[in-house]
Amino acid sequence: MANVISDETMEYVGILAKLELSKEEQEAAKKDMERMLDYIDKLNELDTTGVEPMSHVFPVHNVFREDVVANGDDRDNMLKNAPACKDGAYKVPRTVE
Amino acid sequence: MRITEWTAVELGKKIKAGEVTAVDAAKAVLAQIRAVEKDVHAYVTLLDEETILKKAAEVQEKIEKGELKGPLAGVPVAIKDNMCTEGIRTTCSSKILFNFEPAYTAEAVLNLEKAGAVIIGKTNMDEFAMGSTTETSAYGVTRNPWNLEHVPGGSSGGSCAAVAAGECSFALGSDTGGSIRQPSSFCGVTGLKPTYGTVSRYGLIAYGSSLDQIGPVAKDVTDCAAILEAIASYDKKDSTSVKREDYDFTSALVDDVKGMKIGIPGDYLGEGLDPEVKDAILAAAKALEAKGAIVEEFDLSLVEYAIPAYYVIACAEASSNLARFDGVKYGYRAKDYEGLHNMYKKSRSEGFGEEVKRRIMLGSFVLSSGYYDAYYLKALRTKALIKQAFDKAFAKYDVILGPAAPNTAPKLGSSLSDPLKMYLGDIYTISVNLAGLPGMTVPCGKDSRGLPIGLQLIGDCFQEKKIIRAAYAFEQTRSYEAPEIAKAAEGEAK
Repeated sequence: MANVISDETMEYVGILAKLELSKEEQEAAKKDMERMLDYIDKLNELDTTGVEPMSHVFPVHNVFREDVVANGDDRDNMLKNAPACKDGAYKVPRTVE
Repeated sequence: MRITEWTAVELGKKIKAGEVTAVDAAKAVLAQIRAVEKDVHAYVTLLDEETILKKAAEVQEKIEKGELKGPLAGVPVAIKDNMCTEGIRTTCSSKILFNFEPAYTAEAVLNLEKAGAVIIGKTNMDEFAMGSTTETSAYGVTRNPWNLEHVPGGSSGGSCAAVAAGECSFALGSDTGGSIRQPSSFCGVTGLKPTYGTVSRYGLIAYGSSLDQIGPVAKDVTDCAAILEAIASYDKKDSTSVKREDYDFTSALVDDVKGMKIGIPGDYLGEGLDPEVKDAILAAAKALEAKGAIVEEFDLSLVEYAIPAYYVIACAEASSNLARFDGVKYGYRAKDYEGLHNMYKKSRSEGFGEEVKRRIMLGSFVLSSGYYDAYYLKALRTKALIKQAFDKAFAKYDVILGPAAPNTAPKLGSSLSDPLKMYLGDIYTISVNLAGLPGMTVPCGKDSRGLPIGLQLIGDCFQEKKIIRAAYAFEQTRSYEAPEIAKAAEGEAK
């Protein structure tokens, strides 16, 4: 069955993905995604009833450790990579009026 | 033979014996880079000569004082550009990280530095490791050292090309769906993807966290075993790191496969496999059989479901992992925007390339409410079945043998127009990542155009030693062949 993705869905995915696509890009992305989903639908041939979803291949569950600072204060070094910073903090556009 | 033609372990031995110095080695690699890098373009960032030679001299001093004793001390190495290196630009071959200089170094790279390896530069890759040709890099394509009209494969194309062209003695790559094994096959070098959790992912810029693993790329099996021994470690900073019982991978370098049970999945030899590749793979199986291995074909099953499951899982994880690139903490920020959200969107849309955006979109979709069960959980269930199929196979066989890729290196510019077709090229490598298994590529021949063919050996979890042993035994039946370009630099003869 061919997948058809609506423009609204594409808009919504764009919001989730935080991507702003041009009209042409969006059209191309939609086609690509429909084609990929048609292909991914092949998985429906498999009967997976009763099969647990496997997120990790080994029986490793939550790995806990003490919450101890081990790497010191590296603020200035970290901020060196920021496109904009001010007073030892990342600077972003105004978010609260 | 010249320094750049020696394997990493051979070079390390000669340095230790005082026949050459770490500085000689660095100079030889730099001369080779001057001669061929303009054609191959294996590197995104090269360290400046002065820095490299100073480091090499420091290492040499430590070797002479007996402080550095390992097999890789003084040996020049190239690092894939998705591993953080303190103070050295790390781009993931993306515009969005065009000026990123990490404040820390990846654990695997630190382990190499402790072993005395000398970093030469950061190698080109598909943007964020998403691709199979190294053509999605924002910094230009890398060319295959065997034929400059062809791709080196990907995503660790720069690392594999650099090794083949003699622009480093060995390299680190990363493998999420075949990104070490496939380009190793295309470039005629040896590459190993370890069992998931063996090498720390701390400082590896994540693509698909449940699949990513760092591994060695080198001229031969001995090098790969020695490098893996150096980089593998249990690391508390990586919560998926596994504490292994053994790390002595070099003890498996034994030319003996008598009685070893090797299975060839019949489903790896069917439609889509280039006949020349098939012949080379079967000839390699025969060579192992002649050495006493028991080789038979079997049905692995579920092979055609690995790619769709992989793309759902990898893209889902990528959409989450790449959320951190928002124009705030590092890298590219758009020039014009209105408000915070628009700044995020514009920075990401302008900073990411087409393939990366395609995968983030698909990943966001399969994780969105209403589709999560149908796609994401379905893929994770499929992954469980694929793991079971491998468990069944490894109850019978020590090693699985097959091709690393259905074909040899395609021509530049022929792959990206049809992403789905490109994805299908990962059919023999991808399921290994889903099941967390170790896999290795060793050169096993060339096609009629002179392009290398790679043999893939797959082991059960934690059974690197079995594939190293099989690969080593096979390697004894043929000698390493370097492309012509690897002999380019003149006047460096030793």
